[in-house]
Amino acid sequence: MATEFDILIHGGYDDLGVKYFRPGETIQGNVTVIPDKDLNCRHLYIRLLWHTEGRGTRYLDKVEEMDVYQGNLQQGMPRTFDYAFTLPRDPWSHEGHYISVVWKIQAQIDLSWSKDPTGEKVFVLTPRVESGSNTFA
Amino acid sequence: MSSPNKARSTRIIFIVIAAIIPLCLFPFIILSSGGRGNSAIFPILFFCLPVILLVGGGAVWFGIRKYSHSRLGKPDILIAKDELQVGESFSVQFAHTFANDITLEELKIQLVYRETATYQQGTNTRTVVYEDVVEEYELPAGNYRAGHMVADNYTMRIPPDGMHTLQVRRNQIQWFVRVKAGIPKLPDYVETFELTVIPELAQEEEF
Repeated sequence: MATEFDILIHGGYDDLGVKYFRPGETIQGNVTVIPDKDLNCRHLYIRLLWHTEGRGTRYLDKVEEMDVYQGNLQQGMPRTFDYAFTLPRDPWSHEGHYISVVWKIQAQIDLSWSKDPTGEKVFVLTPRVESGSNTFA
Repeated sequence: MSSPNKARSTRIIFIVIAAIIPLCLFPFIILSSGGRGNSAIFPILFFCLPVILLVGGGAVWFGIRKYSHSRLGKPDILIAKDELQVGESFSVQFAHTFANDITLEELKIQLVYRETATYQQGTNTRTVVYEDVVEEYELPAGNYRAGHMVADNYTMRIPPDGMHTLQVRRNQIQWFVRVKAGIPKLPDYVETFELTVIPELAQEEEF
């Protein structure tokens, strides 16, 4: 068993469980962490990031980072933390032949001398969804 | 207005010039041995030969390309805007006066989407390129006389479901207008004009 992350994204346009947002919109939600053991958490980071996927060497850009918690996390005790980020205008999410662009919300617990437990949730950044309505442009 | 993408040919010229320097030194190395069958020349030859073959091959290839370009002459391409939005239409003015009598197997003007991905495989760095010809206009193939002029105006459009230009380390998404001419027994004449597609969606009125 490993530390569980439940990353919720509020708002946006939902299509088959994937959230769509327009550039410039605010993405917000919360992250619930359920540790599998007592953890001395140096930092709990929630990040907005994108990276390339495909044949090329992965390029990763950490757009924004929130340091939401420092302290102890008890085994089996869920803790919830809110986040909000303003999305930049680019790059848009993309699925190409050799290159794809993937946007994510990432939560990571920074531990000393241990592998940092990490959870991620993918969303889509595209201008092709109409603002304020649940339809594609 | 967009200017021709000369970065590649500049790079080729630079590589050829840089490679010619050791090539020029080579006769001096031979002469300095006094032509007396000095055995020290063989290790030098051993290391220089691949360079000479590479440079020689490169020079021949470059010369043929240059010749093919000089046969056709340089076409004029005018693109109405420097920056384009995704889904935006734009006009491409093509004008060309043939420098010589020439037979063309094909003459095409293309809108090209290109992905260039570079990755590491062991100690080798490899690059893969994917191209998609999104739009293509074809001018009539055949014989053209020196001084003959071809001019036309084309409307192209970045697809509304397309991607903007992306240039990050080892991953590039680019758009080009490309002129491609097939000359018998010579390498294709290819001239590319890079477009900058910004991360904005064109308004529907422009569709």
